[in-house]
Amino acid sequence: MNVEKIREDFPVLKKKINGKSIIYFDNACMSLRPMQVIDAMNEYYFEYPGCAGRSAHEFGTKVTEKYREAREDISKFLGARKTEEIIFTRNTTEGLNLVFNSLDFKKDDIIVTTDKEHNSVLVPIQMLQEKIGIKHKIIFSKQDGIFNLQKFQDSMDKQVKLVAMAHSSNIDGTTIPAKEVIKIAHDFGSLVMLDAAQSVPHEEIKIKDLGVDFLAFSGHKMLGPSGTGVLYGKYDLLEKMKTFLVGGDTVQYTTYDSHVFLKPPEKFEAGLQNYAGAIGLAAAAKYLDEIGKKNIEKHETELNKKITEGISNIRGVKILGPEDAKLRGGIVSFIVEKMKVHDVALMLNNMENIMIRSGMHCVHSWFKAHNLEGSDRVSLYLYNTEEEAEKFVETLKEIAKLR
Amino acid sequence: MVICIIGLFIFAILGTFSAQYRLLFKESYRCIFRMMTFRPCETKLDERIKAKLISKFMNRSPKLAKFTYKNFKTLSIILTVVFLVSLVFGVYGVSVGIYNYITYGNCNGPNGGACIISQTTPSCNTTTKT
Repeated sequence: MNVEKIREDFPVLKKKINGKSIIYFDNACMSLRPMQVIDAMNEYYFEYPGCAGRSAHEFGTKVTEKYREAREDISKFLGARKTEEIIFTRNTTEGLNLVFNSLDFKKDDIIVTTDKEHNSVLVPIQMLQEKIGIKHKIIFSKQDGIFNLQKFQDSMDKQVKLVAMAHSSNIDGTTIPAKEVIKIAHDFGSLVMLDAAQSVPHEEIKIKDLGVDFLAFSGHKMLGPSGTGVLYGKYDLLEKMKTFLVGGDTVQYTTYDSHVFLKPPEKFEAGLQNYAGAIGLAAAAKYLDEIGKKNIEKHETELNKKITEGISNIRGVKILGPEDAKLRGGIVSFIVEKMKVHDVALMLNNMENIMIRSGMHCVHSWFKAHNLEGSDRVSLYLYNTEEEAEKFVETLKEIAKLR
Repeated sequence: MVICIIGLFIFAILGTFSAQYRLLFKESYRCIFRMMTFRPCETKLDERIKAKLISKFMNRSPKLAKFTYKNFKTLSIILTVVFLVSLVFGVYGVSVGIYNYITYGNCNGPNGGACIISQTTPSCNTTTKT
């Protein structure tokens, strides 16, 4: 993988602030975009800015075709069985909410999650608890943040309707053993939904092999445009599910007192869609496929190892999650004792234009339970370099002296 | 949060020359307004000012940076108090000066004396009204 060549595709990496290059380490929140994605979106706006599936004119026909191609590309990217299993959404949160609100939950149904769920999983469950009276079972991780498969197996029973889990944690980068989790859940007749916002951009995921029922991820974390996302769902499940948002599109026809819904995926894509976004997202998927997710994963792990080794020796710096960098993908979450997490992030930004995330990363529940005010999080991607990792370690060393 | 009080005045002055500071003035104003209405300041302006200052100090004197970081809250309270006290004295001094100028024609009152503003600059002694 030629990182220098890859970096040339990202125009924003040429930007300088106060005469210094930027070091972008906030990829778990939002990745940067290559020219290929920007060009694909621009092409829509410049060449055929119509609406798909409605108008029969030149622009309408072209965008319908491009939108269909985008769905096909994403389907191939995920290794789905059918193109119709791909629903375009605005982001992971929307995909997850769609499932939580469309599945037929009844009182006392159980939803099982990990203890590190993003608010986009936790809050819809809490709403279902209030509205329907479902039960929520949490599988607490081991001391080092690793998923406790035994505990999960022990806690499963026939009442569990859905296992909804973050595939990779956005706090510490740990990944659950999804294949085993899915097998156990299916043995108990439960469905499985993965919040794959932090895994799809970085890991090779083939849905056919995984056997997951639902999987949601965002485009903006995988080089795609912001405001784009995908929900994968097994076709037979999607067919049976009620719709969440209804109205524009979604229906075949209506009378004054009835309506007939379209088949999936259209019945779940209400209103005029983000065509440029979907086309841009497909371009991002192609870009990632060309480079190869395995190469990306290897590159991130190497950088993570370098950073982990570098900051482990700094007094007062504590890494969240397992010690072994290999188990944390491209994420290094840390705290500097006696320093506020936002102070550290702001100083990295001011001193060397190093952009990282600080705070509770939308997982307030975990931080509150662990009595932490948050963490600083470095999240890596394919365009990050060893030099950037070294610069980060050096700068953090200086900052940690302030404590 | 207290640093926003100083920020409000400083950015108000700097904002007359540059749009960049006008945005910071608005942020300071929002922060203080929330503070006065017993709500937390959400702009994080104080955190950004602190980080910017300390980052600058770190390049010149790491010891000063460490001292400032550890005592930032105390230092900003002291600075704010000094700033407010000098502001009160300043406003008082100017008010008295204006009053004296209107009443006696010089800024030092009935006894006169050297002053910057006077109806008969440079000498103030001859301007006492009769």
